[in-house]
Amino acid sequence: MLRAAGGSVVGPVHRQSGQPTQDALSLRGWRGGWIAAVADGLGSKQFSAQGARWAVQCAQAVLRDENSNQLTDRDVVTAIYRRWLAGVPNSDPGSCATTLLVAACTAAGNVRIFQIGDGIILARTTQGLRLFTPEKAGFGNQTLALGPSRSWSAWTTGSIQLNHPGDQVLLMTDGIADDVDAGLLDPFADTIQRQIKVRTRRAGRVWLNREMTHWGTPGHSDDKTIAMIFKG
Amino acid sequence: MGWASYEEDNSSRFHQATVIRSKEHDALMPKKEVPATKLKAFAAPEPRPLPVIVLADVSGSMSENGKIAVLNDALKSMIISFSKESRLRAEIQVGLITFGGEVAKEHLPLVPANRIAGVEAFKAAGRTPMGSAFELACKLLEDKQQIPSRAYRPVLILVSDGAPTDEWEAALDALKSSERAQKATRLAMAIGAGADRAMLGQFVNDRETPVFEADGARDIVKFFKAVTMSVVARSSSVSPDQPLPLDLGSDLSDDLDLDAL
Repeated sequence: MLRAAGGSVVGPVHRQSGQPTQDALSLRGWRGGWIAAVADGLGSKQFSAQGARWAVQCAQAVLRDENSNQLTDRDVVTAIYRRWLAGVPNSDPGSCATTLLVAACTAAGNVRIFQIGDGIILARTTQGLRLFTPEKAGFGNQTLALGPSRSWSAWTTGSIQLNHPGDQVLLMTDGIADDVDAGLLDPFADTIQRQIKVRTRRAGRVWLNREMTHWGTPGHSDDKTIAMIFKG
Repeated sequence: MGWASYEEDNSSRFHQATVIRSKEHDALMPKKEVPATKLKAFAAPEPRPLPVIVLADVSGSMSENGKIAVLNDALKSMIISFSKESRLRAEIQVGLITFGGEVAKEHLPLVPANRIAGVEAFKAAGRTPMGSAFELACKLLEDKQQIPSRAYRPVLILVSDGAPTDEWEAALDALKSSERAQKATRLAMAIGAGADRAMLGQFVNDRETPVFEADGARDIVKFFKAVTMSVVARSSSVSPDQPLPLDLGSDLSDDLDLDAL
């Protein structure tokens, strides 16, 4: 049986200034499977919070379509992007710039991955850890995003099969991803799964939110969002 | 517990002894601590670094008119200011690369400012191997062990009073085109009339901050004070990645410059 959990918290900087989160999370069941989408609006852009929320809704809408399984990765990306552009101001889509990470898992455990911008998508299966996200070339907070980046090459896509109990896909925004050393990603994902699988989805969300609110890195400031789909 | 003993307890505790009692009470109250979390072990134990790398000209010409002494003092003040910062949002790191003689050298490896006990003073001598300094800076910026991807955008500061004496064009091109190094904010200060302004103009990449012209000791100090204020403001801002313009408009010196009257 496939299970999922996700959480999203406002970062200390936004919390102190009374601003809303610029991250967005959408985790919904999908005919026995799950679609998880997380987005991180660019802090420097005025309407990035709205852009992030709209992006996760667009990803859900496109992938929930009956025919989405027949679409190529490029067609899915194009459909998500077009839908997103239709919902943001024509004159300045860059003002809503956001990253987007999506995992769509069918009831059979077939997962499709789509990512633009910062954050990490990884999968843990019996074959080991697989990091879908390419290594970051720049420095913190320099990212590709929906809005400014309009090329196919800005996207990372892939697929993986969740066959065995414990197989999982994990998505997280850079508020978390940047602070976890690459060598610790495997035990990090394992710890999350161990905690989530003994909880209900709602309790799992509460646990994740608590962990992210009390994140261990000194001076952490970003909003944080995480989502996991796993074989229970 | 009866009413009498309850009243007595209240009175004895607080009547005319509020201050003392409240202090005792505070000490007994459980301290509000961050709860232990399962994921804490995986979070980076240090704040995100904000690297500041200075490329300092220590060629023979810097020994004229006490320029090297002023540069030493200005850098020392900058490092002391950085070390006093709270590391609330970012950890300011400082690295010094000097170029004088035959090749550039790493005078101070990139380390957190608060861990720098002291810096050996620069000694001016020899030629101006600026290209070699560019190569060293590029290598440092590309090194993910020294400057991780989670670091905020580094600041590269070039200080020179002359023209390069080695092959600098290819090294500068490499610095401006390499994958990570090109993303650093590059600032420059030209000291005196002998500085190669055209070359320094090619180095800078911040439109709002052109090459700073320093005519004397005061200007050198002024430039580093402005850099310090900009970096400190960044390190404590809500978005340390956004470069802040240098405030060079106001004269930061207390000298009223009355000699001109």
